[in-house]
Amino acid sequence: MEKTFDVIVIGSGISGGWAAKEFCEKGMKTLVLERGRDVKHLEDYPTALKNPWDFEHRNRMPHQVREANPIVSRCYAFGEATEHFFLKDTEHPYIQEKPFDWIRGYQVGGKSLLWARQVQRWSKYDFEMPARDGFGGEWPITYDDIANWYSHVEKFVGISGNKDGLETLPDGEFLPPWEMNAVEQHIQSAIKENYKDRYPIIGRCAHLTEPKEVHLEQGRGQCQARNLCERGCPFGGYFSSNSSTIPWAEKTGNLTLQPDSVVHSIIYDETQRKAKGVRVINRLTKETTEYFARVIFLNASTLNSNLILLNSKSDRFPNGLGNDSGLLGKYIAFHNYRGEISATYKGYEDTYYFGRRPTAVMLPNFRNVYRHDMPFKGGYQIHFTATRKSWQRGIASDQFGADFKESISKPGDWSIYMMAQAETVPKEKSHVRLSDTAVDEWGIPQLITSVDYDENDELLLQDFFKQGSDMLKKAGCENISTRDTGQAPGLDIHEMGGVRMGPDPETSLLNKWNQLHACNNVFVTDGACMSSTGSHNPSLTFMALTARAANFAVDEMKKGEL
Amino acid sequence: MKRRTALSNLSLIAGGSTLLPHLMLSGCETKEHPYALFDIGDTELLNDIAETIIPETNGSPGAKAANVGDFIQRYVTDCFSPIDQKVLLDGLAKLKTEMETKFGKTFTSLSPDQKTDVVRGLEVQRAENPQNAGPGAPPHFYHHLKSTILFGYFTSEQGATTALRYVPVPGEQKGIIPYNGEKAWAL
Repeated sequence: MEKTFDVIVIGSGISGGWAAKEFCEKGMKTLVLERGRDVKHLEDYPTALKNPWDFEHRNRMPHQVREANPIVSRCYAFGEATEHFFLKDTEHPYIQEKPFDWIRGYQVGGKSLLWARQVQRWSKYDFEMPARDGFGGEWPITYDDIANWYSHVEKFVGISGNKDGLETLPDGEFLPPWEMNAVEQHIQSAIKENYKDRYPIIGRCAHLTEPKEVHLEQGRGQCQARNLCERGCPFGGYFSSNSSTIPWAEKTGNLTLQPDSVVHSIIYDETQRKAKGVRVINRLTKETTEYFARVIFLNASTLNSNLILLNSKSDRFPNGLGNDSGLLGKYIAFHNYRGEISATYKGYEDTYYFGRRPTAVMLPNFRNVYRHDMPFKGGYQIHFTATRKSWQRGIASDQFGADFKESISKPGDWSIYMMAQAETVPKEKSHVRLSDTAVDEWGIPQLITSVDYDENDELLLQDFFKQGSDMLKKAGCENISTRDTGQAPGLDIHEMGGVRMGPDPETSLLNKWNQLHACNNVFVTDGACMSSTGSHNPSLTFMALTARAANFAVDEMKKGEL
Repeated sequence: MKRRTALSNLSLIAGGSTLLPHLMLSGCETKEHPYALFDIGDTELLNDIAETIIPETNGSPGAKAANVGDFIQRYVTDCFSPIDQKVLLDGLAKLKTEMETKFGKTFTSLSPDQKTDVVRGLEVQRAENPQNAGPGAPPHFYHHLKSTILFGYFTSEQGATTALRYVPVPGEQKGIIPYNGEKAWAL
């Protein structure tokens, strides 16, 4: 097999798929390395069309599996229908110095098969807030640097949404939006009436509500509102690397996709003073092979990208590739998902809904937006849904028999579920590092996670509980009850940072084009590059940064700069 | 679960005396009962309790037709924690003994009114069970039983497609449609 390429992309998930697409379209011979097995769109979705009763335990996991895999079992999407797309705890161990639920999908497509598909653009405030308010890292780019790349990505991915005209959540290139139900509309109105700074919208998500030519060309069709997405979609209704970017890249003839390839490290050439390739261990045979390229894109997912750089040691970089600042692996942050509020609503019993909507109502962040005026740093985005109660209300009932069956077979009263997706402050002490002693099956050092909540998270959580409850109260909701899930960082599956972007090589690893300051033919464009977490969903930003960096790299390669 | 492990669990849970009839019974059968924690007669018992809670109604088969009794044994065997298994199995054993003592026959042989009375009694026991006696206090066995019956029934083909409206591929979504007393969506 050919060992030399124009570009090597490490990882085939949501950002790696984008790197592959952009490079292959521009004529670059591209090798995509994926540590897991291959998953082909449609062919490898064994559960996609199964009914609930087709699963031995109706999609719940056996006790022994949950006992043996406590981390992945805590993920809401892990069940009999999806377990083949999740890494089991024992398959790639890591060391939790502090509790961290690291949820992983090791296969072609990575977690893009499993993601929750919510795609909000970051606003200028999300990018400016850290430097303005003195937390996290200063972003070397502004909203204007990325706006066109958001558009570029959105058009290809296919995103449903409403043009809401909000400064705090910029509009994008939208397909028709999903609809709110009667109670959600009622709560939306109540919040708008009572708060000048709060404007709930229907969530924006990567689903083809009305496919365009570019989506049909990808072989994808309209979302059927099944909401069984994590099994892989037989209609190509949602965006994944498998359904979209990877087959698109393959069609150019420039892609070499190589599964079962665990990247050990990036090889640094001391004389050329740049990276020259990648050292790969075959997942199954454990055989080592080296591949070479002019440019390397690191898209292995946040923590694994950190791990690979930390393990890429050379005379020039004894502490990990590009790690002159000593900050590699530090300033890891995530989204705080601990806050939940439930409530009930009386009324609108004469309305119902149809189809299973793959999004929720979203209230963009309204805290610390224009100035830092709260006792905490950062903000939070609220998600909420209203649904009519199901047969499950029958469990607590003291009734049984024919009338009982009849009653619980009908939709019950409305209930409301609300949650916060809260920004967390990246801190130097929140870090990952390599173990000196423990190695994995491939002889690669195990990762140690040392990431935790802090006082800021508690203040922000209390603010959400107060504000969320007040808003629901003003909307006439009852039985309002708050709950701290107490979950560990990581279960949000929004881990970010460790190889952060920034204007200053003393305090960051990557420049404004996602190049390592100290080794400019290595780019990191997955979650590891994030200078702060913002409060809106991050995947769209990973994709836009990747497309932007890839196109920059192509230009530089053509100019002979890379 | 390996049969030997299951048997040793059972002897810990229920004691040797209840183990004996089970072994005798399974020894006589040519086909072994697939759920080692349960007796072969439990499928019928569980189906009959389930049918009392979710009976056949107009145009909709009940829990027995959906064979919820079989599902409960599979689900309890594979998905319950050992603690919850013990609560359920102890409760079931106690119920069987009570039927013998009180009626001199099995639950299955009772009249419909008697079955209703027994289940009503279980509802009362559950309501009186001091679930909030302390942190981690186990729920009454009937709570586990009822929740598994409802789960098993409404996710079965019979339950999802006749008691509820099952639309595997909606094709579209509507935020608001009028509601006039129809059945709920299954998913």
